[in-house]
Amino acid sequence: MAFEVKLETFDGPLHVLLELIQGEELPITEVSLGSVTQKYLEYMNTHDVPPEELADFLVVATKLLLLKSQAILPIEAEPEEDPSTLALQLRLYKEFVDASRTLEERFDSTNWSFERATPDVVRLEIGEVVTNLCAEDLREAFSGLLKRLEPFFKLQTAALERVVSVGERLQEIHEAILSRTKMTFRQIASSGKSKVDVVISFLALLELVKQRVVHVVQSGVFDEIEIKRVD
Amino acid sequence: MLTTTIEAVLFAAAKPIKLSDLRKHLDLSEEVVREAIDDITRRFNTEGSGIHLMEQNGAVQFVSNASVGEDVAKFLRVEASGPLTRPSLETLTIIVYRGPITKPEIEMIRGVNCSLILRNLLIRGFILEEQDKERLQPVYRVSHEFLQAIGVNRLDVLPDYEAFRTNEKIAELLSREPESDV
Repeated sequence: MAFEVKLETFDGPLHVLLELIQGEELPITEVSLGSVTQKYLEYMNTHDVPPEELADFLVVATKLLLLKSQAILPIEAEPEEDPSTLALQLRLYKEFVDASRTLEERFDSTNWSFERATPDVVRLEIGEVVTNLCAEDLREAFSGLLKRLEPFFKLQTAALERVVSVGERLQEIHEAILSRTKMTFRQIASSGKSKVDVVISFLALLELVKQRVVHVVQSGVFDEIEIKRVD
Repeated sequence: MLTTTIEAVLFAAAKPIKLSDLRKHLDLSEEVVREAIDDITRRFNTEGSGIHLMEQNGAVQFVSNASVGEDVAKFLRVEASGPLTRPSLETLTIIVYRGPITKPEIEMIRGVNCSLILRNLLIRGFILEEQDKERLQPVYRVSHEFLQAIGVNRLDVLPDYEAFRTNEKIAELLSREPESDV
């Protein structure tokens, strides 16, 4: 999610303000805050502030505008909203930013300490130990195992049995219908060896219908399906 | 003898162990545990020792001496974790110097919403989140993993640590917190 990455790297409103003031080499006072109001608003216009942070940016913007207007119009500040908080906030914020430099240096250096890796201990449950076994027991156990495996092998041979593909069957039916003009599904299915064969024949027939090569008619349930060539 | 037991437990456990747990399991008073930990710290946390005792969040853990971190990392084939973005670095700094601290307090200092950054720092294991029963909201502090990453055994060795913790201006700013929460 692109916006998240962006949000994490986007400087907060105080950081923007701090850079503006330091760029102008101004001390952090109410007066200098008011004087960078224009630049701050420009920053907001030229940068894509993430929507999640927009409100926080606007709060700072309003405080700046209030400071600036107070500098121009000597009206007493409303007691409930003291804009000098912003200067204090920014001064304290700067102290943390300065402290973060030391932390960054430490983080980037290779002075790491490591905790002791906990070994992956695997506790083996010691099961019942069988004694006095004879050769015959082992033989029985092994043939028992083979018996249990039998269904698995059967399944494999079944899966490997050759089955005519839908494509091949489609070709066969197509050729047959070309020479006969009319035939029934029973005729096709009777050549099938297994259920799968019948299913494949039926799928092939459906495909031919879809391709409009043949036309099928069935007068009632379980009645003969008549296949005709579409000319 | 007691110090020996605690030392042995800390070595065998490898993970950070809470002092309160040591007290409970060994049936000791707080002062005795403190004395033993201080004794171990004095003996181990020297330049020449390969093993140091790390203490953070009321828990102690034996770790390797950070001054030889590079060689240990090479041997263990550990690579540096990805760099920190400036916003996460700022947030971590605030938590380092003022933790345990709540999200609104962090946001008061940074002047911006920090939910996402906190979540990412939690995922990276650099900070821990705990419910504060008095403040009825989560508080954040840095983890042993983060101390390992910056190679310090305790936070109070960081420059100006006490000055930040006792700063009245910060306390004053944080006390205005409800106003920003409208």
